[in-house]
Amino acid sequence: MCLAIPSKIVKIENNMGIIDVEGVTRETNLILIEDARVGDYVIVHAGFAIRKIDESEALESLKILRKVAAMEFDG
Amino acid sequence: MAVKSMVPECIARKFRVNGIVQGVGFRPFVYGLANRYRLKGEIANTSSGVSLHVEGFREDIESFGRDLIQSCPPLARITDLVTSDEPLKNFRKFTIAKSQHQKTVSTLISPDVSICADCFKELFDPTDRRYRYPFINCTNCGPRYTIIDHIPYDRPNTSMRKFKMCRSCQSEYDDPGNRRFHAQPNACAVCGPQVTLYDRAGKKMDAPNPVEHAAALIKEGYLLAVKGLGGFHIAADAENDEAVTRLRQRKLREEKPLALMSTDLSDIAVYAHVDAEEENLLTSPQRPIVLLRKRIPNPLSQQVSPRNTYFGVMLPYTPLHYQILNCGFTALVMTSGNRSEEPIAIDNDDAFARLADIADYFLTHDREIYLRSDDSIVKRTAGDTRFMRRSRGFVPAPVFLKCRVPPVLACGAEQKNTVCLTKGNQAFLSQHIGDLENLAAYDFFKLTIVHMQRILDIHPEILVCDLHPDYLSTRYVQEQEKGQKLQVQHHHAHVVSCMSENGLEGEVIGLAFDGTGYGTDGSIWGGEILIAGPAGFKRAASLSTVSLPAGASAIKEPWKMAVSYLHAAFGEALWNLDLPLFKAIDENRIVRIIEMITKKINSPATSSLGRLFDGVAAIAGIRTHVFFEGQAAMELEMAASEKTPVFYDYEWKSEEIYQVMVQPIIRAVVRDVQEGLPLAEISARFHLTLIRMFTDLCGAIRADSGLNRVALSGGVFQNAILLSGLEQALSHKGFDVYSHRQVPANDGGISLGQAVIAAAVLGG
Repeated sequence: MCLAIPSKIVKIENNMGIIDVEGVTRETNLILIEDARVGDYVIVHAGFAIRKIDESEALESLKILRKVAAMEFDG
Repeated sequence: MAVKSMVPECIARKFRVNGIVQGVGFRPFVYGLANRYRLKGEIANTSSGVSLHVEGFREDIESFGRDLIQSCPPLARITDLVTSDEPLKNFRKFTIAKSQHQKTVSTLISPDVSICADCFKELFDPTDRRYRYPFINCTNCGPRYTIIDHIPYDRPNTSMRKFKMCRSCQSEYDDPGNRRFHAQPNACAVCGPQVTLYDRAGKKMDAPNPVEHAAALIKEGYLLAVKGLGGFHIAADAENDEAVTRLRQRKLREEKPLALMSTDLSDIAVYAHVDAEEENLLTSPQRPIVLLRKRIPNPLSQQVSPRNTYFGVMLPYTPLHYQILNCGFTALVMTSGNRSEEPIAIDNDDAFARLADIADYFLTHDREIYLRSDDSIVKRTAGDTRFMRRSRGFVPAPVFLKCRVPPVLACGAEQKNTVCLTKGNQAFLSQHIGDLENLAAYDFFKLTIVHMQRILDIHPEILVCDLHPDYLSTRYVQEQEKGQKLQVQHHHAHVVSCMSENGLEGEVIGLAFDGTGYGTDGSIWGGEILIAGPAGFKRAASLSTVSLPAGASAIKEPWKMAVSYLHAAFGEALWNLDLPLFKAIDENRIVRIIEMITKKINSPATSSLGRLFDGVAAIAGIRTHVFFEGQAAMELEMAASEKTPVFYDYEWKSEEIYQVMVQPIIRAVVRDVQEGLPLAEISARFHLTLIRMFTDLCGAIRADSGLNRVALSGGVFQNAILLSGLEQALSHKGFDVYSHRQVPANDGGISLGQAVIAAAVLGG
């Protein structure tokens, strides 16, 4: 299962992308999506980017997720 | 003042949510939301969506309901929401219930991924709880495609279901902050799969450390069957000539190169040349076999890839591989664990039964492989990575099509078979299935079709196969009761395969060069230029035909092809020629072949370019017999000198279609051989001739048709000189040139073309 956290592609090399999730960078495999470009937002599932999503949609849901996370950490 | 209605009321409410709410992070989202409003209850997937029961203050539940719709995860689409009040059940917290049977889910299944750097670190860290555990993996790595049985990709639907996670593993799996959060194959030495060593009789060996014991046996020169990710390998010490020779004898594999595996790039550098691009390929998470130029001299056995200038090399991709290689090998031979021409073994019992004549010992484990997947093979050619075989690490990643197509099942060709299923704008090619010439391969073919349909959730409406009436894949399609059916000409499928992966629509000039394909006139095609598009094709040019004497046997014995070409070029005067062929082959046999050709007995006509390569190789004295298809042609290519300015005269006749005459080329080759020109020069001239000739011919076809795009496809384009030469020459003449990068140019890519053609012909 995936958390559906939108992640921004900051670098691409040979079908592998470096993604940025809230300042944390990770590697993700890009072969399951079409025409991945630096700057795209993707949903990552088990190490693979499985979908591209629209930037405004991504930013909106990041905002929500940030709120939810803040709630959780607040206890 | 009376306090009225100030005590908030606790209620329970049920939400039934339909839409795209599974496999999109919906449940964790709801979990966070419920906790935010301090609601108790549970959420569960149902066959049509999710169902959740919440208890809490009325106000909070109403806010929760609003947020549920407004801020759901980006991939989720709520199409329907029904709420109802329920009696309180007094839940103590909010939980995500176990999945019920799920029907609709995201169907993108990941390919298998090599061990990642984090897990690698743990594997060799003595303080880690998974130190030396051969099945380390995390969310970023490990098996996927090969262990999935059903969708969704949840542990109970994988071969990991029989291993119950211990408490430590379970807590990693449940912790969103952990690298192993929902990593389905998560395991450790306490709860996960184990490695066992057996002798060839299938008797368990007393080995406290089976992996090291196995490595020691390989060191001693034994052959080991090793269970990997997508099937068994046969492992041997690549420096041990005697062991590698024995492997060849037992596997009945005379000269076909054997794959190698080394621990790291520095070990590979000892025996092969690696450039930066090849290094990227070797270390990529797909870990394909990369064809690398041999270093001469090198310490490996000559038997690894005799008479070949390349080694096929891969880096380890599972923790188990690393542990074996860590015992001090420059390289291991890691060849597919199969008997000649059969599919790779995956099951322990199957391996004992089929590999007992080959392997001395078996290093196996108890994690089942549901779908076998051979190693992928790639080569850097003409500035790009080209697939020889697209399999483990890449399958089932889709090829994206230009437009949406109906669900199609394309069953491929006979050689290097793959199948292709389409969904929307995605084409899913299967792993390499192999040559459908025995029952085991045919069973694997059928199994793959069923399995892929299930895990990709595709129900094909259109079935497509090759035009060849006798292919097993053709017969399979004919036997199916349901669905529309279509047979597609082999070279048409080749050209459209190349078009599809390059996103081309309309018509192109398609150069389809291979060994054998069934033509629309019943003859054997293989040197074709088509004007083709997904909806149809016509033949624009073809090599002039010669006889394929004694049918398929001429493929294994290129001297027969040589005689056929010589007879076409010289007639009976061929006996006056001074060629090495006449010393190597008994005169009576040549007489008999000529008789077959002139009397047209068992000698179908062929326009194959692959056979022309074979014939020229035999005339030039490279070899009279081959041990695997294309060997003579490959050796002719490898013999070529870097460059030559000389090319032979060529001509074509303009009739109904352009007929490229092979006779002048054959005469020129014969002249050079008789004059004692070095093989390197003859081969270079032959290649240059083809490049110039086909470039000119494309010019003529462009003038006729107005088409300016050229697609290059077919197994002959594995020839790097021809591919890069034609790409350059055609581009120089202003053509837009397209070749294969995503699927093999050989028959392994055929199913993609078939699928797209069927969608265009029947799908509209």
